[in-house]
Amino acid sequence: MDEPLLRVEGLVKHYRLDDGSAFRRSGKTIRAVDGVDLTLAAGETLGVVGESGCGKSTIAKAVLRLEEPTAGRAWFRGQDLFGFSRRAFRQVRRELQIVFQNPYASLNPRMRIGDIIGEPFEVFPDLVPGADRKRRIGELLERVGLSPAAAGRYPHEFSGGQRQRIGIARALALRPALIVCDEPVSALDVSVQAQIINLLEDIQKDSGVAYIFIAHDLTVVRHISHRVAVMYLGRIVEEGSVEDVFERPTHPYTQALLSAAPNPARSHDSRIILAGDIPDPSDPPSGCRFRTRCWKATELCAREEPALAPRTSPAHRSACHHAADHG
Amino acid sequence: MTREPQAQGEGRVLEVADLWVEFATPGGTVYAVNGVGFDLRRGETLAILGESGCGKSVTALAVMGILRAPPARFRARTMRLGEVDLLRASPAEMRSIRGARIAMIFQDPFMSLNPTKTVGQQIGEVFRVHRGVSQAEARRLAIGLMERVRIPSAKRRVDDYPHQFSGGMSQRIMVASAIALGPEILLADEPTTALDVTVQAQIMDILAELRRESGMAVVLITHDLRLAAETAERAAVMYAGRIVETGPMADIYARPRHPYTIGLLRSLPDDEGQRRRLHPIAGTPPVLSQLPAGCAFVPRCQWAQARCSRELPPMRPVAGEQACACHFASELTLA
Amino acid sequence: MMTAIDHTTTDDGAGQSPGLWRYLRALARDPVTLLAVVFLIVLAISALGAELVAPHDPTRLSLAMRNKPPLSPGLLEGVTHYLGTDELGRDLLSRLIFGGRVSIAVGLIGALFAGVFGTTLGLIAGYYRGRTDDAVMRAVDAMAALPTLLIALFFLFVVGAGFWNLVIVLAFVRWRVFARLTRGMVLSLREQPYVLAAKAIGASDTRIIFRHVLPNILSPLMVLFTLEVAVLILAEAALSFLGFGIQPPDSSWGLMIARGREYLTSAWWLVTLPGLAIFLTTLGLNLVAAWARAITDPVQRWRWLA
Repeated sequence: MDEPLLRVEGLVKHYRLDDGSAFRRSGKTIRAVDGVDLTLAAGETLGVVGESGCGKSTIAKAVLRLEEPTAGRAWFRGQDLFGFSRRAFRQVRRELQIVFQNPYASLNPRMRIGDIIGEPFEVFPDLVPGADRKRRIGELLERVGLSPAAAGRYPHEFSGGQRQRIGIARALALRPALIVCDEPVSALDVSVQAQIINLLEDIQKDSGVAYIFIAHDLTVVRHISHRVAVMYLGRIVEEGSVEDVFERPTHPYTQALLSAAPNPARSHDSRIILAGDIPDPSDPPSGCRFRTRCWKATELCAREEPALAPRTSPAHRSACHHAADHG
Repeated sequence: MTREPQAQGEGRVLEVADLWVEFATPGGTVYAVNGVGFDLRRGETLAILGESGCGKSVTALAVMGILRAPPARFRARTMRLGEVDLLRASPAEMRSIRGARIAMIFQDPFMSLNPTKTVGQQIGEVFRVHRGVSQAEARRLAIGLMERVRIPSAKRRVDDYPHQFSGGMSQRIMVASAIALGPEILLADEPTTALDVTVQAQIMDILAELRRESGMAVVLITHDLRLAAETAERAAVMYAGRIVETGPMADIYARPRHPYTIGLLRSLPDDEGQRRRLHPIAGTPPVLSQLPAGCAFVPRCQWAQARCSRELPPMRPVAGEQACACHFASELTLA
Repeated sequence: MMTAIDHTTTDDGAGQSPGLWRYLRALARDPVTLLAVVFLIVLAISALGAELVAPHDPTRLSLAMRNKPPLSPGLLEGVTHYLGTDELGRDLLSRLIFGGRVSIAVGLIGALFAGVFGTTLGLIAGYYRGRTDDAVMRAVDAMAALPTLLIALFFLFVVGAGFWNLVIVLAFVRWRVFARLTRGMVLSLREQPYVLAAKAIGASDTRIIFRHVLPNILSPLMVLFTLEVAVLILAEAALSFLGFGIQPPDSSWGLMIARGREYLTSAWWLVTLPGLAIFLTTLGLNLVAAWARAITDPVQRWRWLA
């Protein structure tokens, strides 16, 4: 088997809660990501869905080492990502980029667009000779559908969608092999959302970049992804091809999530309304983390944490003791 | 979340006609709402649909009488709540109407709750203000309301503070205090936008149940076409401060007539996962301080003709109850 | 593939960095700030060129001219003491000009030292967190808990009074204000997506701090700086009053107030005029700082420069 572009094993990211006292840290630990495996092939889009607090954005930050992971290993083109020193990691990072959710906070308000998009060339000066940078910035702006004249302007002069395009241009500057898109369209209006989704698809078609596409909007993830991972409370509960996960969901949480999304084309009677809230991530339930809200839960679920097991196809896996039962 | 058959008697609980709202800002006058009118029938859900800045929230605030003026200036031809003329109501009358006959919930429940008072005090406050009941009685009523919006162990949680509740639970608390006095109308401004989808389903389910039980009419202000299509009987689609299309929700969702509504639907990924290319609406919404003379959608409209930038298209019936403000509505269909 | 080029931006022409001319024009439309700027310029000129500006030698005594009110004629023909004279018959205007030089210098240089030191520590603490942060913040807390005036007095008692000792001790007791504000702002900025994006393109810590963090906290720091100049001018006054600050025959506004205090009932101008000088200087600095904050903010700038 070919080595995938990205392989993550046993990724864990815990946050210690600081109680504000100077001399003692509180015992509480948020288990944001608690043992996650991922693989991603070149040119592929992996959708990561889940509700707030499930750890999907933490995965993005940990893989890019914007925050140091607590445990786990990751390989990018076979290179051990977490083994590098911070300094050596900079070279690898060129190929790993990120696009953020909030277009209003992701651009430095005091920098001109040209300086924002051109900053990668200043960080890696040997990449593009100084004389070519201006032209290259213009090309990047045109690539994302903006006029090269935008380079002289400031972020506040642009709408949310336009700012998101600028963020994408910055991510593209270093010609990455993987872009993590952390809720890239959820802050945008529907009509603008579609513009950005199309743009991301076009870029992938042209350059073969791979995406990890993190979102809570299921229809968007279904539209753009090749494969999907569903997360709940720091763990992946189901993964597989888009068709497998969306058409033949086997984990109760996936089923509930899909059924909760508004869909006028479907009858309402089949809707699953979950009880209660997501449990406190500093104190997850024993065994299966979903059992407190699950209508299939039994005593086994409280005792034993289910492992990801193959379902309708070898690549379609879910972590549920009762996934095979129908009903 | 079943659809109610239309209430009998065509009882109109709210009538708004020709509502205009503008804001004076240092950058010029912002024309937020430009001649909006709609009716709300007893017990129905009306969706006001549109993207950010289309004027849908401002419309609701104007109806509630809680627009801050200045900077806002507003006028309307009609604004009636049943037999009450809201345009002539004194501030004292408006206060007695707000909360009692017409209530509102907002997108961000945390911002609407006072962090220094228990949720029981906040829900009970409505009774203390409008009914003058005792503190103990208010607390007892608050518990009942919390149970109605299905907050688990309400008796214990009534003395908790807002920060001890999740976003979804906080929104339930907002719903509880909104329905406390059994209002005829609930204005719900993006009530689930800040919430996760499973929590959204819970809240919408609670709202549907309350509506069934009490016959309250709901104005659902949202940008989410699917949520509206699933919940509302009728809809009004807003663009740049005007209603561009109204009618039965199912008709609008199935056969949108206005180019903007058509564009909105075509920019959505497919319901059933068919992977076709999305068709976004080109460009961006107009700046509300510089609205054109004609149809505001012209710069983004693929069917626009010279006439469209000269003449503001009036609202005209297209089919059944569906009406649309486009010169060429009868010639357009969702491709 | 085809992507329509989107030329629309929300506001045409505001992108160019405004030239000096536009700043001046904006200033001309804001008379209060303009007045403050003019006052501060006059103050700066008179402080720098005190020898040329002052009408009299500020140290020349004249027992015959003690405690004369403003606009009193001098002993010589055609000489007027516009702001009167002090208890030793020295020309008050001249003393205000020379004393202002010392007061402003103590305030500016002290606040500059405190600002540079405190901001640097705040940046390091907020950006790197961990033990450094703990250490810096404990020091800040400790400083806040200490009776600063007593510490300053003790220090000046040990090493002796004098201009530079005064500046250093004032910077030492006030750096914590800058450190705390800076750290707080850095803590929230370091989580901003644009800072994370800079990390993602491989920007070094130095680059992130100087390109992305510092420019975005500079405006509040500028405002704090002007406030601190005022605080230090007042602190200088207190220390000079107690005899540990500026020593005669040098003078400062604070020392003038201290000395004039005895004559408060008989010669009001001895206290009032230096007090007014301190008040106007502080007010002017604050007005200019508020204006500068608004006008350097790219989001608000258009309102002022339109």
